Amino acid sequence: MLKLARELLKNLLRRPVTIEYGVKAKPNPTKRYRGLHIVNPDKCISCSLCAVECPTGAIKMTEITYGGKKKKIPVIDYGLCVFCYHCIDICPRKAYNISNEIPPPVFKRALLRGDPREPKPWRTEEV
Amino acid sequence: MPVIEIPVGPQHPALHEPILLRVRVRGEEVVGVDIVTGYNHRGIEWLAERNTWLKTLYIATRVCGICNLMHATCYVQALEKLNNIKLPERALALRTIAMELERLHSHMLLAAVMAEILGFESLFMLIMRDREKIMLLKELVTGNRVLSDYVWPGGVRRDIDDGIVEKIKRALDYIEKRILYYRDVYENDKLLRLRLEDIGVIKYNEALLYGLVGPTARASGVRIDVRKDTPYAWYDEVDFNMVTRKEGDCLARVLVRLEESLESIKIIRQAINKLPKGPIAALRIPPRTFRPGEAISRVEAPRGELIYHVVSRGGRTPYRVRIRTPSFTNILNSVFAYRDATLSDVPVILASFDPCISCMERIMVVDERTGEQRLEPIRKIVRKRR
Repeated sequence: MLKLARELLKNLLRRPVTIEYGVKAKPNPTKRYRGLHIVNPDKCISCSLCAVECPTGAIKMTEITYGGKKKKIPVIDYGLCVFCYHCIDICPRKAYNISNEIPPPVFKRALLRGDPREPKPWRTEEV
Repeated sequence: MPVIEIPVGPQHPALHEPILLRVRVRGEEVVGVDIVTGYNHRGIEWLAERNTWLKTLYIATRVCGICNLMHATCYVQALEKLNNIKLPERALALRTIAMELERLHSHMLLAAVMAEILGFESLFMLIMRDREKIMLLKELVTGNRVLSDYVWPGGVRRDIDDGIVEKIKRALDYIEKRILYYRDVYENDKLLRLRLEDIGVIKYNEALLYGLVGPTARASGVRIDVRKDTPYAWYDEVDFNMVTRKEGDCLARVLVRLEESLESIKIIRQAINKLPKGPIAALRIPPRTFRPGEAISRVEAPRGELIYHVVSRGGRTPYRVRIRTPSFTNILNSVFAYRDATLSDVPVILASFDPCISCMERIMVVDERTGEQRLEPIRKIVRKRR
């Protein structure tokens, strides 16, 4: 009993052994990994080819006001996306920015959205 | 002594995949085995008929996780035959490199899983650690560790540069040493030999009679390999040997795969050394429609011969995509391999065929007399055949 209490006290003071996945530790993919991608509204010509050809239907054309004008741009649902990068390879204007980030852990699936209006914590590169 | 039926599976009998073996035993001795499948049916061919040509490519990629690039390449080759697309040399070479990397990691996975089933967990850990290096190479070449999405009609989608070539060369030097060591372990370890040697023997004529393919057939001495028989991609440019063994037991099936991994390393080295320069795709973007007609394409997947039969009637969707996977023949037609085995050998024999359950869950029956077509569960057909 005494032993048990001692162990309990010890464990209370100790730091957790598990890693807080997604907060403190992340998988470390190489630079060539197909990660989160997002459209660049400056380059997009609203042709909606990516939305038509997306194998999982993860891309939806959404109307936004950008630079004072109304414009339709693709918004990606990362919960459905399989990261095949078909949209990036077929884009006639190379309008997507890519990164090697894995999707972050979130509490709501609606937060997994590739909307260029929302600020994104990850860094992207142009294709 | 009465005969008892023991279900092995469907929750992960040997590999972590759903398949049920109904094993009838008299005491410890196996009298008969029924294979029951159908736990992983997803209707891939039905989906293929209802999606566009390019969406079907991503569905075909997801038939099987371990040999996904083989499925994609096989489907894409059929499409290229339909539209008569000539590929640039560099695209063919890159495809060959990526496919051999996939074969390499698949064969190492089997060697690892086999060690785990035999209770040799440290060997499992060691092989999986080294396999991770190949997964990294695959990520560098294709963009993902597992689901590569690398090929499309007309060529490949990503190029490699000198930095990646150097990395591949360095990693292959290390992997070659390790595979030689693991082959040595499998050949000389007494306990492994006791569990594997003379168990689940398939003779040469049996392998021919039941139409076994791939390393399973090659371990029984059958010289069958699509890469040699009808070279596709860049296999006619590279020099490699077809590995065969005569024993036909579980040990031979593991050793054939390990030796084939060495041949894969040889192929990748040659392809990298004489990697031609030029474009990586014949077209900038793949075509969206394909000419009417039909095409059959064959690829040597890690488990054996993989066949795609694509029928086109023009238009935006394929009329029919028939997939014939190697696991289908290898698992269902090898019931006789379990004779004279003991109960503890059953998972070992099953694992030695390197089953890929998700590959084999499709069938359509055509009644020749009436021309009637119907879908039937595989278990019914297996029962009829006996």
